[in-house]
Formats: sequence, C-alpha cells, structure tokens
Amino acid sequence: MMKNYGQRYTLPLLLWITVFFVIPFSIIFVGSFLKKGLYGGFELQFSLDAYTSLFSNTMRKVSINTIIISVITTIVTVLLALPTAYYMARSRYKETLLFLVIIPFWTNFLIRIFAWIAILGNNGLVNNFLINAGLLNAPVQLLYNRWAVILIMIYTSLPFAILPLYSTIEKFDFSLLEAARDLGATKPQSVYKVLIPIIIPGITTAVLFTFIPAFGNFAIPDIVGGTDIRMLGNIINEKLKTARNWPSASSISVVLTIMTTGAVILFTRLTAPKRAAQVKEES
Amino acid sequence: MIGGIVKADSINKLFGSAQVLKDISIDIRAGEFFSLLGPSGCGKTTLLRIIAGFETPTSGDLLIDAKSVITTPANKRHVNTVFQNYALFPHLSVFENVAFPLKLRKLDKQTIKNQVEKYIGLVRLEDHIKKYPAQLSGGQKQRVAIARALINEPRVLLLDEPLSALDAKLRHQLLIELDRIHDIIGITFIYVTHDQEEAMSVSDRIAVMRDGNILQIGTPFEIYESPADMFVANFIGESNEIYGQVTEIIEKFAWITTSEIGNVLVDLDKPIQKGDAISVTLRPEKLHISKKKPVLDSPTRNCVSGTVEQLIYTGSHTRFFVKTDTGYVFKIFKQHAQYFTTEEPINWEDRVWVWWDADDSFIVEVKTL
Repeated sequence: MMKNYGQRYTLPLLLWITVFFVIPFSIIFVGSFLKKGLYGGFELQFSLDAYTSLFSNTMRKVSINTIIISVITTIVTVLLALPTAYYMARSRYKETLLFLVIIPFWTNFLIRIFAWIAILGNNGLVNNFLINAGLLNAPVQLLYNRWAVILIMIYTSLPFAILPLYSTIEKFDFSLLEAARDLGATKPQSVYKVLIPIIIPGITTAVLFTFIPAFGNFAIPDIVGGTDIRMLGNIINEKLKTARNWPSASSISVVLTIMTTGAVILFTRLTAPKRAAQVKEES
Repeated sequence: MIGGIVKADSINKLFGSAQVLKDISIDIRAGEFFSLLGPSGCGKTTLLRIIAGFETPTSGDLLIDAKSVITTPANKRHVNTVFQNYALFPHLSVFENVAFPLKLRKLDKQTIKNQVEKYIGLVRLEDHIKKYPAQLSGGQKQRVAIARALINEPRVLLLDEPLSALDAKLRHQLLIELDRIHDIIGITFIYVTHDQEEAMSVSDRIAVMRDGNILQIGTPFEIYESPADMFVANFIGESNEIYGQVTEIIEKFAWITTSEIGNVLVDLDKPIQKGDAISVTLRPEKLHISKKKPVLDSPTRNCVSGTVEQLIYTGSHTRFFVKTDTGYVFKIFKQHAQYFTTEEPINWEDRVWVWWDADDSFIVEVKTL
C-alpha cells in the first residue's frame, strides 16, 4: 500500500491559516473581552462593555442596513453574472471577453470608486448629459444614498461572480440541454432542471465571493454612502480610529465574522450537491 | 406499438455558404430499422438533427406520419434521440435520468416508478438503478440513454452513432441488444453511423450518403451486391475495380477489354452496348486462388495469373494481394473452411492463378461513348 503523504502536504496550508487567520482572530476575540485603553489599545482587564454596547439603536440600524445592502448586492450581481458568463462560455470570442472582465483589476480599487463620483456626481457625466439634453433643470443627487452603494458594490463584485460562473459553465456539456429538449423539456425547463443544478458549485462560489466582501465592506459606503448609509465595516473603522475603542471594534468584528460564517455554512448546506453524484468514475 | 413513417421531401440545408444537404428525399417505413451511412461530413448527422428538431432545413419538408413537423419544436415531436456522447444528466441517478421525461409530464409517482422499472428492465440495468452516470461503464451509460429515449414511447427513435465510443466486442453485443429492443418495441429506428458493418448487420434498409447526397437506398443485400456507384462499392465492404470497354456482346454476357488485365467476360447486370465504357466491381471473397492452373469447367470463367505480393492471415480467412504481370493488384479473401486441406499452401512470391465466374462481377457504371 502507498503511504499517505496527504497530511505532510497540507502543512503549509495549516501554517498559512494559523498565521493569517487563527492568530489575528484570537487577538481580536480576546481583545473584545477587555477594557479599552485611554488612547486606544487594550487594558488587560476583563469586561463585557464592548458587547453590551452592541445593543444600541445605531447598531441595530447599521446591522439591518448591512444585511439589506449585501443581500441585494449578491442577488443582483449573481443574476447579472449568470447570463453574462453563459454568453461568454458559448461565445466564439471567449478569450477577448474574459480579458475584458479582468481589465478593471488593472486599476486601483479606490480609483474605480472615485471614477463613479465622476459619473454620478452633481457635475458628473449623467447629470450633465440630462441637463444638456433639457431633461433636467438642476442636477439630481445620485450619490450618497443606499442605491449608490449597492450599484457600486455590484460593479466591484461582478468580476468575482462572473469568473467562477464562467469556469463552471465553460465545462458544461451543452448537448445536455438538447437532450432535455429532446425528452420534452421547454427551454426554461431545460435551464432550471439541467443547467442550474449542474453549475450549482459555480453559483455557490459566485454567491460567496460576492456576499463575503460586500458584508464586510467599508470603503464603498465611506466614499459614496454619505453620512446616512453606514455598514458594520464603517462602525469598526470609526470605533478603531475616531473613538479609539479597540474592544468595541473587536466585538463588532467578532459578530461580523460569526454572521458571515453562519451565512456561508447555511448557504453551502442548502446548495450542497448530492454526495453520490460527486463520486469519481470507477474505472 | 407500430412506428412512425418519416418522409423527407427535397430537404436542403445550408450552413453559411456550405450546402450540407442537397435535395434529400427519403421515405422511411413504419417500424423500419433504417440506417444513414456515410463518411464523416456527409450530412447524415445534420439530417438526423433535422428529424429530431434541433435544426431547421433551409428548404424542403419533413413529415412524420404524414404531418409536416417543420415548425414543431423538438420537445413537441414524438421523436427521441440517443446521443453519441450519451448526454446523461450527471446530477441525476439512473432512475432519475430515465424518469426525467415522465416527471416533466407530471405523472404520478407510482406510474413513473412502474414505467421506469419496465424500461430499465428492457435494457437490463436493474442492478444499477441507484447509480450515477459517473459510476457506469460506457456500455451501461448507453443503455440508460436508450431507456431514457424510449420511455416517452416515441414513434421514432433516432440513434446518433450510439456505439462509436465503445470497443469492438461491446459494440457487437449492444448491436444485438438494439436489434432485440427494436423487435420488442416495434417503433421506427433511424440509425446514423459511419461503420458499414454496424449498418449492414442490423438495418432493414440503408441510405448511403456522401457530400450531402444520397447515393443509394436499399437493403444491405442490394447495397452490397449491386452498388449504385464505385463509391458505394468501395465504402461497403471491399472491392476490386475493373474499368474497360465493351467489345462484344454474346447473349447474356459481354467481353470487355481492359488496359490492366486484358479481356474479361462479364454478365449483363445492366443494359450495355458495344463501345460503352463500363466499371465493374468484383468482391474479393468471390475470387478463387490456387497454385495449380484450374480446370475451367465452365465457359464463363475468367482466369489470370500473378504473384502473391502480400498475404494477411486473420484467422477466419486469409487476404491475398496478387499482382498480375501487367501490374493490377487483386484482393482475394479465402475462407478457411477446413483445418486440413489437400491444397498446397500459398506463400509470398508464389505464382498463382486467380479465377472467377462472370456472374459474380457486377457492372456499376456505364458510360455510352
């Protein structure tokens, strides 16, 4: 029998997770149960203050806001990415289209967000166009609301949803759709009874790649969300930098991590493909 | 159950500027096992896809049971397909794959179960009903595909090179199986293949196709024994081609003169006249070979001599390649009917005699000059 070298090869991964996840998270977790230092940092004294302060109106409002924004972002992004990835996978110009999806990564994330201000701002492209076309007298406030945040979140997460979907749809055997049609399925039936179940792993990845970054995002609501629209990420940022309350920032981080993990587990459970279907070919 | 009648009426199909089907007309009878046979790119699969409803002909009409189905989408036609790559749904078990068409029709659970078990029994896969496609062998996958295609009780079953991915032994087994299923179900089978042996062994009739044309439609016997042209003669089995000019006609026979093997006597399969240029096919198994000069007991025998250039022993028969002094190479298949023969064995480089009866050749093409 062959010796199982599996464990030896997973060692680097274990190291990686320990250094970049387990240790930092442990520090935050422990820190959330400590007292705040006078000028930031922690004071080594047990306290539940950071957790009791979670139960405020602001926190409730922000949490709900965060959930609404990230759920809408995820749904719309995946719904847009699905037909896009399908079209790309069936196109003769796969490589070119793939290239176009990747191009935005060449520009810095923040610059891409600021570019949206140039488009949606009071002096931006959209307003100027509408005013010049005589459709508006004065500019309309397009930025600094929830919808601007969602729009730009969708924009930034689209490539992360398109790429995993593309790679699964590209491997999909399109003759299966013909077989379904042949057996009596209508076009929509062939899509949701054959295509969708088979590309579920891609959809799961797309949902997670969209939802997780959206849920913890703070840069986008910071730049285009105005004072009203804040997400959990913003509160952490404020607690850390402005209020200098590290334990409080830590406790929100812990809650955020738990919520994200919970959502991930729930979603992967719901969409888990049947075990037997994953069995490798016997021969 | 009796199968559907399929009628193709002057079907043309163009992909861009390439004409894949040229004025195809076929009448396929109810319950027939009909094969579309031809080399790749001859248009046979396109014709099948038109019958299935995956392609629309550029012009012409397609009738199933005397009703035009050109505008009927694939899911509404009483036609089902067995695909070359099986096209099984990987996320569904054998049972669920076969049940797929019935679930679409929203039949009740018990009916679905009974029907699925009936058709899984028909293809003898009872032991694998819970498995997923990835756990099945190629032959088993194809059986699932057949059961799934039959469960809707179609009028016509289309088979697109269903055995091409399987090895030779399994292919023969499944061919017999298909024949058995056809006998039980009784519906029309349209079978696309490039393998002449497959087509010959199961078909009631065969259409031989090439470059978007149908060259010949006939029973396997007709196609083998009286091919419509030299392409068919060479595509179906093997053949010795002889080209010559008619010099004399005596009752039922004609003398032709050839540049390669001199004067040859042929029987008149077709009306010909003195002076016509004709081509003749001669099947290798109908030629005789021996080292001793044969005593020609009939006046209608042709006889030539030559040297054995190559011989291939295949077990059941030996293939000889005999080169005449004028450079023509005959293919001769000699069946091994007995283990002990009184004849002297023939070896490489031996001088041999090749002879055949004028009745055993067939005039394929006639050109009146």
